[in-house]
Formats: sequence, structure tokens, C-alpha cells
Amino acid sequence: MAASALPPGGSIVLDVSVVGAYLFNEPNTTLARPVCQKIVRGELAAFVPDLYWAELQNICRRKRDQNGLSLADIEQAYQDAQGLPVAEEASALARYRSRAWDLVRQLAGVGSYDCYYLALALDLGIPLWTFDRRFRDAVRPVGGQLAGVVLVVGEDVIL
Amino acid sequence: MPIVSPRDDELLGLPVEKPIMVDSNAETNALAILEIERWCREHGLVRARENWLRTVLQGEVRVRRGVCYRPGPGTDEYRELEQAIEGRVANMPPTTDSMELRRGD
Repeated sequence: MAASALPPGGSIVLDVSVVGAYLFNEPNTTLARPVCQKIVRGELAAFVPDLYWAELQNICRRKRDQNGLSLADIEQAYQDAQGLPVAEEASALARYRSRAWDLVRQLAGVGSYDCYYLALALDLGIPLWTFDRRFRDAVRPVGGQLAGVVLVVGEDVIL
Repeated sequence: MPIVSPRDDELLGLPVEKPIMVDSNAETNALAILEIERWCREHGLVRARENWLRTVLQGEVRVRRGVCYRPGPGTDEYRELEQAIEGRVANMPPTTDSMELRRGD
């Protein structure tokens, strides 16, 4: 698949790992920065399911437990995350439970959390941007409605 | 058409940065934001940075309300957040990829 420019309408579902790479010093930080700058500047509308916040909190916890960041470090990162203009689908867990379960059964090797992001992207009719090649590679061969929905930042999407 | 107000003629002569309410009857918060974002782009406006839209009754219909405005040349209110995040990250030691941390659970 050729790298794409911004999707029509400039709206995406955003995987939490892209936000994590923007908020912390990570291997993909330089790739996450132009994506998140566009979101911060209002040039790209980003959507997430409600479980995004639980995932982000868990990433913060593990940055402290595994990487030795201080409580103040992760607190500041979390505060910054709350300032990002990322629109939440607050009823995603309830709304997409059946759809996510269908996707869990259909897609080998894809985590159940990822299936909620995917269900949201399918419902809104917009792409899901991630760093997770395994996720994209698991979805791509299924084709149909799922074809081209999951795009890898830095490969399918280059800003 | 999910956007239920304003009418296009209400936008005529709308001053720069003057807020205007845009209502959507879309079923969910995310769908309403998506529709309002698209409507704004078609009309040369931007949506205020609200992640959760207020719901209001318009007659007997419950709608989700976004605040939009025509951007001015100096509309860069988020530069401060951008600089704060990037300055903080520049002084942070390298950490594990968030994608790997997610998979580890």
C-alpha cells in the first residue's frame, strides 16, 4: 500500500501507543510528533474509545514501574494528555461490545482492546492510525470493510 | 443530514473568532464531533477544542452542541501545550515503546 496523505475530512481513530510516543521519549517519538502536532493544532480530528484512558493510565504506571520515571514525570505526562484535543466515544465499551467480539473471533493475533478501536473506526468510517504493524498485517488480508482501515504511521502514513 | 443548525445564511458576515453554536443530532458524541468537524471544514470554520459535546434540547429533539468559529491569523492557542510537551520529552531518558507496554499486559 502506498503511503497516504491526510484522509478525507482529516479525521482518524488514534491508537494510544501513538499518544504514548508523543508524551514520552520513545523509539517512535519522532514519528508520533507530526501526527500529534496536527491534532494539537486542530488540523486533524482524533477519536478514541473510552478504554483509551485506562490504557493511557496503565502506560503511565508502567513508565514508572519499568522505566523508573518519577511520579511527577508521569503526572505531568497525564496532565498533558488531558490537554490534547482527542474526542472520546464515552460509550464505546457498551456500544461496540458485540462488534469487538466479532472482530476478536475473526482476527487472529489481534488484542481485544485493539478491536474496540477498530470497531470505532468502522462505525465512524475513518482510518485507524497505529504503530502496530502486526495489527495492520492481521487485518489487511481479511479485506472487505476492513481493507485499508488500519494504517501504520511511518509506513502507510508519512507526514 | 445530522447538522441541524445553524443555517448557512447565519454564517454570512460572521466575524473572525466570534463563536457560533453548531448542533448535531448524531447518535453519539464521536459521530457528532465528526459531523461538526466536516461541516466546519466545508464552511471555513474550526471547532473549539471540546472533547465532549454538551447536549441540549432543541424543541423536543436532543442535540449535541459544538462551538465553532472562523479562525483569525493569530489563532495558535495550542502552541504553548505543544512546546511544553516537546520540551519535557527532550529532557526525559529513553523509555520503553508504549506499544510494547500494551502488549505486555
